[in-house]
Amino acid sequence: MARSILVVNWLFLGYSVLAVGTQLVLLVSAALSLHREARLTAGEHLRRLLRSPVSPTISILAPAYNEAATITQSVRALLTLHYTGLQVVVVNDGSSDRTLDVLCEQFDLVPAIPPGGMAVPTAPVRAVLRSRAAPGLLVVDKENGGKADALNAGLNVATGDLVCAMDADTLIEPDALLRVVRPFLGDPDVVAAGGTIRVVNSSSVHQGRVREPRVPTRALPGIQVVEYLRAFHLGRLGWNRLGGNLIISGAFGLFRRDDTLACGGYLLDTVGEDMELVVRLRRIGLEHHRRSRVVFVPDPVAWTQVPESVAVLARQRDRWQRGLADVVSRHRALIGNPRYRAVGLVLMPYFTLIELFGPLVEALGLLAIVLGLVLNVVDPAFATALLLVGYGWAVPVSMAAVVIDQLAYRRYHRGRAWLLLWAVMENVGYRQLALVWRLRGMVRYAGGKRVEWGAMTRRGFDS
Amino acid sequence: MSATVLLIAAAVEGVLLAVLLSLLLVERTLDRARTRREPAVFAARAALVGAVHDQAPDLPALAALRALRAPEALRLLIELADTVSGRARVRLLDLAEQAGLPAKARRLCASRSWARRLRGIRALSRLHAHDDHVIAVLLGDRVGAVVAAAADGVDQGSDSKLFKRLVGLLDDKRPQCRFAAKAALAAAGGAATPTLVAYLQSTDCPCPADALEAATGGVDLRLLPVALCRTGDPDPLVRARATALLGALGSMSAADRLQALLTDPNCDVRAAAARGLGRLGEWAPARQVARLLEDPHWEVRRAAALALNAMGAPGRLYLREAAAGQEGAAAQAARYVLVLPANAIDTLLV
Repeated sequence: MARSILVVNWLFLGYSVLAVGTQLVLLVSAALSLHREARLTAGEHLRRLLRSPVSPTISILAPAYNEAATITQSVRALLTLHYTGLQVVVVNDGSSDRTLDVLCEQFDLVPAIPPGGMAVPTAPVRAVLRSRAAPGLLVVDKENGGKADALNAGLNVATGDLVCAMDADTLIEPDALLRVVRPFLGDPDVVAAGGTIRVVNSSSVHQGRVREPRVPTRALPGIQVVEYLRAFHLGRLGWNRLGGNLIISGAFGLFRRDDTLACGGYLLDTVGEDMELVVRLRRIGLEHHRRSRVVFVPDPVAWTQVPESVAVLARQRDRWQRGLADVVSRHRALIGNPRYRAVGLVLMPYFTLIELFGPLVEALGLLAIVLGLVLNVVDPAFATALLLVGYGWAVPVSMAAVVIDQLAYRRYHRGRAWLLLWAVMENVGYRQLALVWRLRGMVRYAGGKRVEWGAMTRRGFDS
Repeated sequence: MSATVLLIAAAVEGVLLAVLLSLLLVERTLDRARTRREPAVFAARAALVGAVHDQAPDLPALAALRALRAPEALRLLIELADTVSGRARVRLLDLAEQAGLPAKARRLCASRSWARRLRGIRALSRLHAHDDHVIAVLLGDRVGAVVAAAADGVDQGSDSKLFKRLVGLLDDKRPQCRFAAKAALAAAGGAATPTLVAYLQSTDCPCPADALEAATGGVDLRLLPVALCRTGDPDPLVRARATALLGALGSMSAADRLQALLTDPNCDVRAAAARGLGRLGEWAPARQVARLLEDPHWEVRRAAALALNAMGAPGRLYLREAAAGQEGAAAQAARYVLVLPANAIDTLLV
C-alpha cells in the first residue's frame, strides 16, 4: 500500500513537471508570438482591406436555439460589422421559443430560395428567408438537429469564400473580421483561423457592442475570465509557433468554405464538433498535401457569456471533456504518427496526455498525497513540494496571462486587483471542482453518453 | 531531497510572481501616465481640427503638436488623416511637415530594423505623405510585411514605374505581397490601367487572372481590347475574370461577346456573362439568358435571374413565365429574384 502511494506520488510529480515544462515552453512561445504580432500590426491600416474589391468574401454562420432574448441585438451587431459584402446566415435550429418570430418582426423576412444545393446533409430545412430590411441577411429555419447540424445548414446556403462560425450570443468586435482574415491573405496554406474569446459578464454592453469591459466581482465568472485569458494568450498563441492549433473556438472561428464543405462539414455525433472539424481539416490536409495550417490571431476579439451558476458550468465542463475524449478517440491514429508532423508528434500527444488524462492523474495524485500523509508514508515537505509544483505554479502562469493581456491590449482599466485575486482563488476550490466535472465527463463518455449537450441558460446583454 | 525540491520550487515561483507583479505595476503606471497626457492630446486635436477646417493660424496647432511626444503626435495625425480629404488633407499634411513628422517617418523607413521600416512606411501611407523613392526602395525589401505596406502606399498619384513594380509583385513567392499588389492596383483604378493593359498584352504574363481581378477595381474602357482577348483564354479562371471585367466595363460593344460566353463550358464564366449582360441592361439577349434559368449550377441560375430582372419589362416577363411554370430549378431561381426588394437586386448584381 505504502509503496503504491509513493509510486503514485512520484507519477504525479512527473506529470506536474511535464505539465509545468509544457506551460513554460508555451509561455515563452506566446510572448515571442505576441511581440512579433505587435510589431506586425503597429499602425496597420485595416480600412484599406475594407475598401478593397479583391478581399475574400465572408459569410457568418450564427446558429440560434431559443435565443429570443438576445437574437435581435446579436444580428444587428453582426450586420454592422466592418467588412465589405458580408453575408450573415442565421440558422434557427428548431427553437421552441419566439426566436424566429422575433427575427421575422425585426428584419422583415420573406421566403427565398436556398442559394445552392445541399452539399452537406442536415435535418429538414423548413424555410430559407431573406430580409427586406437587410439584403445581407439570410435566415434558415430548420428542425432541431444541434449546433453542428445548424452550422452545416448554414454552410449549405453560405456563398462567401470564408465562413465564420460563431454562437448566436457571441458579440464580435466591429473590426474583428478585418483582423482575423489576415492569415488567409498572407498564407495560402491556412485553412482556419480563430480569434480571442473574452468574457462579457459584468461588462457594459450597449446595442450589441461592449462599451466598457469590466472584471466580474463574482467568483465564478471572474475566475473564468482568468481561465479564458490563459487559454487564449498562453495556450493558443503559444501553439502558433509549435505546430499550430488544434482548437478553434466554436464561438468565433473563420474557415475556408470549400475546404470545410469538401471534408463534409461538422460531425453531428460529437459534442466536440469545433475541435473535431479542426483536427479533421488538418488531418485531411496533411494526408492529401493540401492546406492544413490553423492559426490563432490574438487581436480580433469576440465576447461571450460564461455560466454564472455551478450547475451550468458543471454541464459545460463535462461536455468539453467528453468532446475532447471523443476527438482523441476518433483521431487516435494521429498520435505519435510522423506522417502528421507536429499534429501527430506534438499536439495530439499533448492533448491526450495533459488535457485528457490530466484530470485522472491529478485526482489520483491528490488522493495519494492525502492518504500518504494520513498513513505517514509521505514526508510532509515532499507533499508540500508536490503541491507547490502542481498547484502553486498555476498562479504565476495565470498571472502571466493577465500581465500579457494588460501589456498588449490594456482592455481592463480598472479591476486589475480582481484579476490577481481570481488568479489565486482559482486554485482554492474551483480547480478541484473543475477536476470533478472533467472526471465526470470522462466517466460519462466511457459510459456511452457521448452526444448529450445539457441545457444552457442565456441572459440578454444590455446593462 | 524533498526540502531542496520544496525550496527550489518556492524560490522559482516567488521570483516569477515578483516579476509579474512588477510588470503589472509598470503597466498601471504607464496607463496612468497616458491618462494624464490625455488633455494635451485633446488640446492638440482641437487645435489641429481648427487649423485644418477653420483655417486658423498654424502656430497654436504646431505648438500643441510639438507639446506631444512623437508617437502621440503621429498617432493623432494619422487618426485625423483618415477622416479628412481634399484641401483639408493637404493642410493637415502641411502642418505635419512643419512639425517634422513625415521626415521622422522617412527616417524610420531607412532603419535597419524591419519593424521600424514597417512603422515608417505605414505612417507615410496613412498621412498621404507620398514619397515614391521611399516606396520604390521598400518594394524591394526582404521582409514581406514591409513590401506589402509599401504596396499599400501606392495610389492614383504615384509614378507609373511603381505600378510596373506592383505588377511584377503579382507572381511574388510571398502571398501577402501578391495580395497587397493586387489590392493596390485595384485601388489605383485608372492610373494603373496602362500598366495593366501592357502586362495583359505581353507574352510574359504569368498571372493574368490576378491582373484581371485588379483591373476590375478601375473601370476603364482602355481595358476593353485585353478583356475581349482574354475571354478566349484556355484557363477557365482567366476567362471568368475577363468576362467579369467585360461586364464591369459596361460597353455595348462587349454585348455580343458576353452573349457568346453564355454557352461557355465553365459555370463561373456563364454566371459572369449573365451578370455582365444584366449590368448592360440590354434586353435583346433576354431569351438566351432565360435559358440559363435551367442551368445545373445555382450561381448561374441566380445570375441569370438577376440579369433578367435588370433588363426591364422583357426580362421580367421571362421571369414571371418561369416562376409560373413547372416546379423546378428555373421556377425557384425566378421566384428568388421576384421576391427580392429592388435595392437588394442592385447589390447582388454587382
